[in-house]
Amino acid sequence: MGEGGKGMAPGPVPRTTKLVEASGLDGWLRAVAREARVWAPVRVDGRPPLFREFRTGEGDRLDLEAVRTVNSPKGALLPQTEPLMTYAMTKDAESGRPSLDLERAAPGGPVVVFGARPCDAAAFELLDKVFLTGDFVDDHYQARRVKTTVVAVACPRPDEACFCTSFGLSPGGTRGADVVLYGRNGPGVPVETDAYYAVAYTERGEAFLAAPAARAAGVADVPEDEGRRLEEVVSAFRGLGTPLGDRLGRIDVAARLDGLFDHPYWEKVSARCLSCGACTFICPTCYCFGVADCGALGKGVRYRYWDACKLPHFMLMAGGHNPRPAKSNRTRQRFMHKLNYYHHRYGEYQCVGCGRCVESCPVGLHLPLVAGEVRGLEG
Amino acid sequence: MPRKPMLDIERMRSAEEALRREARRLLADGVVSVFLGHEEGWDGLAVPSFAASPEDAERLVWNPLCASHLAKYLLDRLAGDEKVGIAVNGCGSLALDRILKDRRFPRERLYVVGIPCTGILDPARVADLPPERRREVLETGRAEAELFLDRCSWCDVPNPVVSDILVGEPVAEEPVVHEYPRAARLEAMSLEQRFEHFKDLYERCIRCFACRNVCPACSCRECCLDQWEPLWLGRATSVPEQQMFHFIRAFDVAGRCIRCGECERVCPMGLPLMDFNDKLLKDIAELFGVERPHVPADVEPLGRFDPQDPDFEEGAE
Amino acid sequence: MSGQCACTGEPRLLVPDVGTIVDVRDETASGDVKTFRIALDDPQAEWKHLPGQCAMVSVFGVGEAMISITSSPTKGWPLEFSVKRVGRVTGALHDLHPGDKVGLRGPYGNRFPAEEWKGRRLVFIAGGIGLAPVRCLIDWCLAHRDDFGHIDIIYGARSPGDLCFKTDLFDRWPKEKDTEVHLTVDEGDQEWTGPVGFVPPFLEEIGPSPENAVAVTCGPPIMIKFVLQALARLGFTDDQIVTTLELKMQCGVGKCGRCNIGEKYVCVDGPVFTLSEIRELPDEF
Repeated sequence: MGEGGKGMAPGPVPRTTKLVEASGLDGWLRAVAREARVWAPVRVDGRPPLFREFRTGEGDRLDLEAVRTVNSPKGALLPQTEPLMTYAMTKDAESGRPSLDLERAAPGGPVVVFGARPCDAAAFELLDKVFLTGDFVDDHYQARRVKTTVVAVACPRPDEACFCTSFGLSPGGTRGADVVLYGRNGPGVPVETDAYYAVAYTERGEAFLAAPAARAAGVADVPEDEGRRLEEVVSAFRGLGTPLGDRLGRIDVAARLDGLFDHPYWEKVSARCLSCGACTFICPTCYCFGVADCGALGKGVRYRYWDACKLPHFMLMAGGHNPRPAKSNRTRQRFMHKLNYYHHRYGEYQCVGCGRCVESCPVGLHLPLVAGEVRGLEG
Repeated sequence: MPRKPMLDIERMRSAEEALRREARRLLADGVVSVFLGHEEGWDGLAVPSFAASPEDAERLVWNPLCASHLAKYLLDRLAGDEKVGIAVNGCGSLALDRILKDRRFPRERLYVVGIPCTGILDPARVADLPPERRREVLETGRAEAELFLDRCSWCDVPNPVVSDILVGEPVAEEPVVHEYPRAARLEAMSLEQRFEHFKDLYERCIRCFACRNVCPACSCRECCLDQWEPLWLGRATSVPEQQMFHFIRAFDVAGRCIRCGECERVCPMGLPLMDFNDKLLKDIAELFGVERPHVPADVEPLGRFDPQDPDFEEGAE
Repeated sequence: MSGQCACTGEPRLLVPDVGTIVDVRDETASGDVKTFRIALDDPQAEWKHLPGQCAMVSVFGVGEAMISITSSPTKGWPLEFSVKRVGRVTGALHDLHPGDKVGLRGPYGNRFPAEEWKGRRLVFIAGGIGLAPVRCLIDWCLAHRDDFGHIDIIYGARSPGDLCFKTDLFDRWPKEKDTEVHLTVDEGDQEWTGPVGFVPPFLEEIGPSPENAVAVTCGPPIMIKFVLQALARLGFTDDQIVTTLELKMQCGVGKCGRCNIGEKYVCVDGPVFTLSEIRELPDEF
């Protein structure tokens, strides 16, 4: 997964770099929202910041200050509920013969994910591996993906739950991002930055910075004498550590877990699990879903919805057999999937160290805990 | 008048010691095969603990962060006939009482260690404090009222209502005038405001079921929300389905809700879920004159049938 | 392969093709297993499957279920699906009639690697509805009869009325060259004169030789468990034993995570596994 970070290879080559005043971001967002659906970290009143569709008319305020939103931006690419098709049964008036019309649901127009943290942007690439590789390509996901622009914002103050560096990512990482905004004052500054360097790393990102919306919002060229400062700022973000990541070091436990499937650890660590889906639903890399029909009288919609291996009914089969009846089975599945199975299948870990499970699990049962503890297990 | 909780750290420390001693004894003598308490977890957080040996009992803690109720975990141990030890403070005993009253776990299989309680802090609020202040609060117990769990402010059950043994002397019980600020806030809203308020809640809800799974009053063998046939709850997270979800839950626990607020505390999205319960509790207080429907000595207004009920007609269906 | 629109070629992974039930046949006396013959409304959209593969069958308004294709690829369309009434979707399917519309998408999963078994003797061991996927393979092998050695078909059901595919069992297969059909039931009735008893001991009684043989087995988990032990006692190695797994599936294309066991997805990496492959997987079936 390497990119940036301490002692890592340098990131990709910037294609364009611009400067934008912090005060111009809101206007930029609103201009972009006229042509695309914009997903952004928003705060309404005093409530916890959410990553969701930015509603220009409803008092949504862009919040780039919060270290993380409570949910992840994955819904932009994989909505919690997504119609796949509609069906309608009709009867031929003369022959009385039934026929059925299926219509594939449109996956929707362009999406701009604005203000995702680098960990969340990297997570999109982990979703890509699932939905865009293998014998089957998920067309609904792909249709959105090819029209999605990801504008990440480098993380100035990773907090005690942040551990992206444990997976080779960094608070200034570029993975999965078309554009990265770097606060001009660099990381660690306790006051809001006055301006951002906007660096495009892809063609799509370059186009985004050149679009009329960007120009109208005051996205301008970087003054010539700031070249050096820009380089320093970018490299400072790239080299920034994370408090939890520093504590944990590099997480590389796939081989360790190979022999731990039957270890009593799972029974022990899972005893306090509430069997809820919080950790999976707020996770930017968890992607399991279900498919269900909604409708009656020969007319309705088939949709997919987020589902979770942590929920007891996930694998329940018609006839009542449940291959993972105990929460120890389900807890093991979640962590084995992220730290072992996914690694075997796709060559990297299914975690970006965003820290949401650390923050959200009410009983403190989360990935860094498990990743740290399995290192010390015997057997 | 809301209660002003005061932490008594000295009392907690001696309760902790006595709790460990008691759990050690129960496990060593084979009275119980497992003891449910708390232990120190990630970053000093207190997490549910399942001590299975006298050595495990050494890890048990009783401190201002022990917010989780443990009674719901009994459902994981329904199979078998092992005896289970469990630590409960006042509100924890209400959760246990709920499970027992709903006949979801046999009392004979329990050994209950009761802990008189002087208040518990909200772990999330403590975690947000600067490290220095955090340490000070936990060491001295000098904590402002805002740091406590919401339920401490209306607590009039500091001493366990179910227990086989108490660790520590009972705490003086003070009468509390029950108020329902959340319900009052809802009632002050216009219809439109209220609609927007709940719409926002439904839109934020990710339906992870943390609220249901932690709730001591939600203990059905099979939850109707999980059933496919009939399908009470569509899997789409549309506003009407979310409304169905939250309404079913609110009405299902009405009259049995112990007002612990655990649903709200564990909600990853920070939803004001106690709005539902607060309103229903207020209605119950006003309609039936019962302010604490969950407290054992009181009447369960929605859990009792009275043939003298003026609305009851003989022979009517 | 479905997964794209027949007219425009536009991909549509999770959207089925519309099919019509051509006919419905009761397999068992109790009616709990029915065989549905299904044709696609758009013949252009027809796909070819391989023995052992499955398809997602939709009952619109109820949902989808992964069902093995029980007719041999050599027979073409309409395809046959033998379905036991166990849950919501299979129950709804059982309530449909010829002429009713269903959805189909597939074919999914790997296949029985039958072309690798040329020149070998074949032992098919099935119980109850477990014969459905194996039947597809048996018919494929019989269509290529000269490629294989002796064929034993060992099949059991709870009662004579529960034996599926009676025409195949009693009329078609026994007439094939060098092919033996051995039937047993857990409990006989007045008319049953054949063997009575469970499949695993019956298998040992018949005692097929492991030499140059492949054993294919499918049935209820408890039967499989004891069949595997019986095969081991007969001298079959793990590489000689092939089975198909059944797990909850939702997408059928390796995305939804439902049938994930270890690093495998049963829907795309299975459902057919050799016993040695299964031993590599975590025990979560």
